[in-house]
Amino acid sequence: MKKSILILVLNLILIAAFGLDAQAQPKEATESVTTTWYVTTKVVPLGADRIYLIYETVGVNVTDTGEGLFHGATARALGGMTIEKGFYNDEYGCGVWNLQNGDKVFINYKFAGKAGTGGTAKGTFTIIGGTGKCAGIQGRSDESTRTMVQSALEGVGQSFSKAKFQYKLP
Amino acid sequence: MILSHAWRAIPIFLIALVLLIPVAEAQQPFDITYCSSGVMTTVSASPELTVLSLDTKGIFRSNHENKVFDNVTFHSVVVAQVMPGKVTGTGYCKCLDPDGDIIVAEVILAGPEDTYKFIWGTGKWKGIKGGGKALLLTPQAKSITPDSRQICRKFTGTFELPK
Repeated sequence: MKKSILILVLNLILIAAFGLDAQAQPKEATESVTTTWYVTTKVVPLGADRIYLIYETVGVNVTDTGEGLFHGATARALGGMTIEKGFYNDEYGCGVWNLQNGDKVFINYKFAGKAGTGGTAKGTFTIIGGTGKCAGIQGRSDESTRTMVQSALEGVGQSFSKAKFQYKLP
Repeated sequence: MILSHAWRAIPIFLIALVLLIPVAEAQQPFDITYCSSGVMTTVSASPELTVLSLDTKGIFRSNHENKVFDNVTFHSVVVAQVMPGKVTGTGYCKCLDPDGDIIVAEVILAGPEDTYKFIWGTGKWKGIKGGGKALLLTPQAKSITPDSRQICRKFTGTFELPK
């Protein structure tokens, strides 16, 4: 009888210890995301062949699997870059990704590449925080790419970016 | 007697086959995922009926091995009416391919599925006919502002070009 009680207590201790530990494990995931952007810009001329460009951009995300945190998320970001002879290496932007469940994820990014139609760029997205279930989220996407395509409308830019977000939810 | 009718049917079948084969060959499929962002202008809003226009920009990305319409950008304008549980409307979509050639499509909104009909084209798309259906992929997407809408759709269909 004593032996049975001892085994039961031991089991309860083990379940409490490892069960709670499993629940406390942060959720980690990787998602391949394509974002379609359109962008409006303001340009500050900085002499011959050199401009500073600031922009506001709006995007929509789809994941390769059609599910996950970023699938269907909308995004709005502000950014800027110095373009010299058609190239830039200092683009910095920061934005809000609105998830389908209503939570928000805050992301900043750095890119470098070629400006204009057909121009491609490489860079990194860094997840810096979030709200709701995403409060405390951490993550990034290295070696992300972005391609500018010919815009269907004068005065706006259109592009799509591809990223592989690795993130950890608390 | 039955055999005689069967023999007569064979040439008719062969003629029909010959006539249909070029049409079948000219038809090409496309399979696209597109995402877009639009700005709404609301003319009238009430729980019973809301009338609005939507000015949208987006990009087609092909999922098909033929890569038809890959990296085509578009700008569309539609007028829609929203009634409880039902969205209807019509509009036009200008699609610009990476070579600068244009396709204009008529758009009909009807619930979660939009219908596109190609009505005009330039360059390599001159004389284009066809169209398809675009099914909403992101019904829960949150708009970034109250007067805007961001969505993604899967757009599939066929088109043909004059020979």
